[in-house]
Amino acid sequence: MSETKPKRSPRDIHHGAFTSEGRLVAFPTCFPGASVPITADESLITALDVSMDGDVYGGTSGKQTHLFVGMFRGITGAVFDMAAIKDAQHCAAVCCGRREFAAFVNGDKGGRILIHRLQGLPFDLIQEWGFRRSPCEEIGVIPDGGRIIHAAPDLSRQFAVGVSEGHLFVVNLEDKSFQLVGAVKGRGRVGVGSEENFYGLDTKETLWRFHPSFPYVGTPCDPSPKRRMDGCGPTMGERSTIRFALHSGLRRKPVRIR
Amino acid sequence: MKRDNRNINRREFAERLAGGAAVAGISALALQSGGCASQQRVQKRNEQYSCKWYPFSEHPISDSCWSLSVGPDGRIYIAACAEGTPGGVVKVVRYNEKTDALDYLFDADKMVNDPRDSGRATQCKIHYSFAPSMHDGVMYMATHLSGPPIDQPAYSPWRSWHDPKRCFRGSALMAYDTQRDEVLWWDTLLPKEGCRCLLHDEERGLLYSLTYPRDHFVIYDIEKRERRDIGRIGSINAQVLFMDKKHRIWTTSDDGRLIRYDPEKDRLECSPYILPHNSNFQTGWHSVFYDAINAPDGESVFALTWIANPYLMRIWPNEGEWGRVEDLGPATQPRDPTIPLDTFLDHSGGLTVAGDRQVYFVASRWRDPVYNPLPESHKEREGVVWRIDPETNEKEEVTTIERPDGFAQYVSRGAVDRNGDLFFGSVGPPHPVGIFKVTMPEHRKRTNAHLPIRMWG
Repeated sequence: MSETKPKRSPRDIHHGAFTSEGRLVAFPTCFPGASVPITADESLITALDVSMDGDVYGGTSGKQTHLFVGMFRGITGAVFDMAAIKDAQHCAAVCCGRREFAAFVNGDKGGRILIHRLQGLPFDLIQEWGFRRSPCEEIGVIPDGGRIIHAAPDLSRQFAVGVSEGHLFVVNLEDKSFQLVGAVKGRGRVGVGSEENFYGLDTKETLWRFHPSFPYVGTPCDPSPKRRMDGCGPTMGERSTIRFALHSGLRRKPVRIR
Repeated sequence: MKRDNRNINRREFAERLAGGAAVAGISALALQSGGCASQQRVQKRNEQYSCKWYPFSEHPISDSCWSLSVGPDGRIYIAACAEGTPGGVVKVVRYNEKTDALDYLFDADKMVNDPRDSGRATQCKIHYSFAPSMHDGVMYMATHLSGPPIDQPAYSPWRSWHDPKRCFRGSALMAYDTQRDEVLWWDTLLPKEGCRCLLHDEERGLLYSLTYPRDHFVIYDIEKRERRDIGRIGSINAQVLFMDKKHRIWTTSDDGRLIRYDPEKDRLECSPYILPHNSNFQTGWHSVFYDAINAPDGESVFALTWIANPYLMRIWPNEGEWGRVEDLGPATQPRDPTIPLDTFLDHSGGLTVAGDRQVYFVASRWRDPVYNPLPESHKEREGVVWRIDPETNEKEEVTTIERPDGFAQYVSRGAVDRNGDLFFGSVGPPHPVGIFKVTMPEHRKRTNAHLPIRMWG
């Protein structure tokens, strides 16, 4: 029996491990030659998102959380450490809006939601540049010191939906408002599906669904006949204890109906 | 044209970085006072040196003074540049010691027949490109690009490289007769490109230049009116050239090495070592020369680099194969190395030798919550005039330059006139920009203090 020759070349194995499509950027967490990288024990990258312009925003975990942006377009090629967040050691997610991005961080006092302006392109990273740090704005705190598990932006980048250990919440990236919208013991990541649906798991392995325009938090995969499977009305059962009254756009006030 | 926060032109870049007068809380009263108050404050702080501000009042859109040099006549020549306004042009200005005012000599666009409303990038500035000629009293001047066409908000030389309607016509070289006050002739020194810096080897009748954006090293034969492109150095552009006793021309590469053109070999050579830099967060990359001046001993050169946290050094180019370099340390204050600060804030320039045979330059100083917590009553940024004793290389702060309507932390070039007073060119908002005159203590002045003259911009 003849031996089968491997089909992959050493080059495919080495470089193919990183890119099979698209583009890989391997870069230190700094502007090489002009700044130092984020401190080693503060630089574990645990959150990433890409803005509509193609810049990469991220957050780190470790002794202290940092928020950073990586710019690899135009006359750029740098990572800028935008902010070191006091009393935060974990970044659960970053979500880019159109002008700002939200960072979802955790510390000893629980989860917080921060808003920071997107970074403008520096003039020219070959010749002359300019970076200034601007402050973060804290727009929300998870009640009772709960930790944020994850968050994800909608496709239009107008808002983000997140979960904590006990709540589902929405952050409006346009007007920088934060709102608790449901009681969910979040677990794992928030997924964005079609037609503006957000999905996630809770600690009971139940899949939940959230649609920002419909006044319910649904559990479409729950086989219980007491609960509605579609998104046409308020969900019945224990998870349907919160309803929103829609005012305009995303501005709504939760109304407890049971 | 609607533009968002991410797309800024060069003028806006400078304005954002400099922050504007409003940030500093500078009052209209200070503007009206014409600098007298600040002058008095300077004099109170230091009885010996006094500072006066001269705005380019006859060129209100001027936003930068990139060139300030002493001419072969011992008078101060200045480029009042307008690179941020569409259709802006440079006016050549001279300090008049009799009237203690500025004389506006000519507009570059008219002089070289490249009108400001042509639709092309304009003859907006002269960038470290004044070079004197002592035997005939001529001051050579070469223009630079970046000023947008009159109907465009910005200009990119790359974008318009093949566009005959938009592309910069080229750096215009002018031979200005300082005795007759006229441009004797002009020529296109560098087609499509700007001249970053210029040097005159008078003995050999050659002008040396660096082009922008391609960073080529070009030699121009004055008698033949011919140019020769020797090669490409890099991408960044050093901001100065200097010449040694062997007529070799020195500059720097992108990674902070010395680049030397040896006329005997007709080659561009690269040093085996990297110039001094802050190894904490720099690698040598972008540590290109910003300014350089011959030391009074005639054997060495003082130089500054063009990167935030610039380094001061002294170079003996004639010693050994690649000279000897002495690291004189950072020229500006300590700072947070996690922020890539800009070269508008963290900057040093204006190297010159005065009548007292001491070396002077200006370094920026700014408020920093950790490294320099200046009180709110103090200006957020300022330019500090330093004096170096070339015998010991010791550095001493002698005064600050103060601009009544803005900050004064960015000085491009400095020069000493025939009377022995110091002059510095300023860059930054608000418009119009201008120059500083620092009157030297009497015992530090001498007649013809500008000699031996600096032969490069």
